[in-house]
Parts: sequence; C-alpha cells; structure tokens
Amino acid sequence: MLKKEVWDALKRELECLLILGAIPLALLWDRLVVNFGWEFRDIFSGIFITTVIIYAVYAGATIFQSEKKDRAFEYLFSLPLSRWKILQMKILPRIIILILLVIILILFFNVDISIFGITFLVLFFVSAFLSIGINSIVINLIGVFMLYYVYEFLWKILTYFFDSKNISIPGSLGIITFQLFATALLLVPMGIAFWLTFKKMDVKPMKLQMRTYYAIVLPTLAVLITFITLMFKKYLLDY
Amino acid sequence: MLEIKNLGFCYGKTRVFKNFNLSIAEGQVCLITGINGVGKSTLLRLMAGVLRPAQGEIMFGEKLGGDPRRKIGFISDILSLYESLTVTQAIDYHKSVYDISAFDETLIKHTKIGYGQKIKELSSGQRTILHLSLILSTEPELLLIDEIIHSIDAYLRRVFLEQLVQLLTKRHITVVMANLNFHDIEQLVERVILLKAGEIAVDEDIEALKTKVKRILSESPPKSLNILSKIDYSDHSEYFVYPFDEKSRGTIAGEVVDLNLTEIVTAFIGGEYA
Repeated sequence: MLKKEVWDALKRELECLLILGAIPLALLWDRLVVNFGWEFRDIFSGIFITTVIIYAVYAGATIFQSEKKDRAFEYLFSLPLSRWKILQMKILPRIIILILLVIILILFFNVDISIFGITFLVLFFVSAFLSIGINSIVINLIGVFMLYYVYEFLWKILTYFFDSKNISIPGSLGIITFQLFATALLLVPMGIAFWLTFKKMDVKPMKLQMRTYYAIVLPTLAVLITFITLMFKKYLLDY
Repeated sequence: MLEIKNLGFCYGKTRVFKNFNLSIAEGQVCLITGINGVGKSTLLRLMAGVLRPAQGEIMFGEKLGGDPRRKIGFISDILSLYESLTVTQAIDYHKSVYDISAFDETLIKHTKIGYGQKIKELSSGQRTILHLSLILSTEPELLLIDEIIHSIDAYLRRVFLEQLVQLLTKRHITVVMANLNFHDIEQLVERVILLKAGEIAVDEDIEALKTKVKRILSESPPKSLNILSKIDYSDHSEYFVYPFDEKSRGTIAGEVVDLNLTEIVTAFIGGEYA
C-alpha cells in the first residue's frame, strides 16, 4: 500500500513540476517584451517556490483522489487495515515529499523557511482536511484559499492582540510562535473533525456522513472569524 | 460463524434495517434474496464492514480473529478496485496488505487477462475474475458474493463454481450470496433467506423449502393454501403456494408440481410485486 501511495504522491509532484515549463516562456517574455533583465535563477526560484505551494495544496486535496475516481473506497474499507494505518499511509509519503521540497528550498533558494515552512504545512493540512467532504479539486482549492486568509489574519491579529497585552516576542521567533498558535487554533479542530469523520466513514454517500465534521468545523470558523473581525476593528481604531 | 443482533441501518432518512437478527453457522452456504432495493447488497456490505451499523452489532466467530476482514472475502456489485493500477500492481497491493506470498492463479489462467493490463482496460467479467482471484488468494473463511457472477461467461462461471465447491469440501468455508444466477448455484445453496421490508420473510433450508413451495396447475385457486403469486393462461392458472402441506395434496383439484430454486425464488419475488 505504501508503494502505491508514494507513487501517487510522486505523480502529484511531477504534475506540479510541469509548471517549470513556464521558465522558457518567462525568459522569452522578458527578452522580447518587457526587458526587465530577469535572470534564469530568479525565474527558476520564483516558479519553483510556486510549484511547492501548489504541491502542498494539491497533495492535500488529492489524498483520496484515487479512491474517489476509481470508486475504490469499498475495496479499501474491506481490507484489513485500520483507519489510522490508512491515514498514515496516505499522509506520510506526501509530507515526506513536501519536507524534501522544503529542504531543497532552504539549500538552494535561501528562503526564510522558519516562516514559509509553517505555511506549507498549513496549506497541506487544510487542503487534506477539506478533501474528505469535497469531491471537486477546484472547490477544495477555493476553500484552501479562503481558509489560508483566515490563518494569515489570525496570526497577525494574534500578534497584535498579545502585543496590546504587553506580551510580545521579538523577531522571527515571535512570528513563528504566533503562526504556530494560529495553526493550532485552525488545524486542531479541523483535524479532530476530519479524524472523527474518517474513523467512522463507510461507503454511504459522504453528504450523509458530514454531520460531526460540520458540527466542529463551522462553529470553530465562526468563532475565529468573529474574533478576527472584532480585533481587526479594534486594531483599526487603535491605529 | 456470523451473528447479527438488533441491527439497525439507514441511508439518511430511509431506514433499511431495524432490529434485524440473523445467525449463520460455520460452513453454511446461504442465498439472500428479495426484490430490488430490499437491502441485500446493504446487508452484505454491513457483513463485510464497508458499511457501519447505526445500531446493533455483527459478531464473527473466533475463527475470523481480531480483524475479521482478514478472513472475509467480499466482492460487491460495483467491482471496486483501483482502476489505474495494472493487474500485477493490484496483485502486489493485495498481497502486501494481506501479507501473503502466493497469488491463486486458478481462475485467471483460464482468461485472456494480461498482467500488464490496467484494470480499467478489463471487461467487467475479467475484473470479476481478477477480484475473485485476489479474494481466493487470501484463503477466506467467509465469502460474501454480491450479484456479480452474472458478468462472467458460462465457462469461467463453471470454473469458479468448481473452485468454490473444492473450498467448501476441503475447508468448509461459509458462503453468503445475494441473488445470483440460481440455476448455477442450486447444488451449492443450503439455506434461502428472503428479505422483505428490511426483515426476514422466509428463512428455510433448501430441501425444506422445496417441499413447502409448489406450483399448482388448476382452473380455480386451491383452497386453504397461501398463494404467493399466480400466472393466468387462457384455460388454467399456475398458482405458487407456500407453505404447502403434503396432507392437502389429495384435496387439491389440479396438478401439483415441484419447483427448482430459480422457480421458488421467482415465485416469492413475484408475490412481492403482485
């Protein structure tokens, strides 16, 4: 099973790497039209980082893609595999490839990974946690896009909130701390909702199995968005 | 081998089973039948663990061990396999999950399935054969077969049934089938369970059932016998009766005819639609 999942994850990454084909087009665009003097290295790093972001979202959105496409949930659930084992086999290869890509970014592209690393994981897990009830990858991507903004606002508002209470952590450590805090506030309830739904999931239509998921995720998002809105108003008044 | 207690299950607001009870002994070959939508496939899926009961429990004998799915072979009516895999990859996948080294080629060697072919390229009959081969490779103790055997041709069906007979003889496996081609399996079936509105309407040994269900060719309906269904002809009618009492044979004005399994099940199902 692991072999299949590793191959699936690699296929997703290879599909994302197709975007690198845009490099010659970008060079041509620069040489023939805009003349900004872009170097190959600049274009390559920009596009490569984009592929990693896309991979993080795409790999998360497609963890159950083969089961959905091939109607293989019935086969998968008839196998003597615990739900925890299935989840491990699905998530581990994808996360390992994501970490390898992040290592490449650190080694070759001088990216501030202390900040970006958390973002990649947030994108992956938000996408994976949404994928359980969403069949369309496009709708999943829209959901990830919206929740990413919740996360972005959340950690910035948290920074402001604690700052206003005279609790501040300087530099990158502060950013990482509040990003981790925001990540936990968003991902822990989503993860619990995902796990409880997946643990009891069977081959009934998914819309009949999402009650627990919605009962956890929707109030969580309502609380987080209300908090962001209230704090944002206060923040605007202060400044 | 298998005991279902107070099973409840519904699809949304549609209730399929309520306080459903069933017990199947080890080594028994059962046929579950009934009209379309009565819950035959749902019951098999519940037994296989791919659907979860809303209430009640399904218990398996100790022979099936901690995770009964390891010893359950389930082939559903929708042929669920990873279609993007090749036959070899699907076999390797199945072997790795069940931690087995050998693949049972008995069925597949009779077909023209290529090991390098993708599953999506196979016909439904070939997929059925592949799925059955995968299942038989794991040496199941309980075999759950939904109405899928129709899709394989007569020759392969015979080969499969011969293999099934060997398994029944050598290893005494338990088999639960839903609405198969009755003619093919008549010699195998020991017990017939007819579902009606989520409950067991009939549960009889095949031999007992054959003595209790009869066709009566007569101009008028037989008195004091429960008529399941009837077919009208210009000069007479065929009445399918259950339960038939041998003592009443002498009092019936008409010919009493024995039925085979197909005719018996058709009579019951015909009665449902009447």
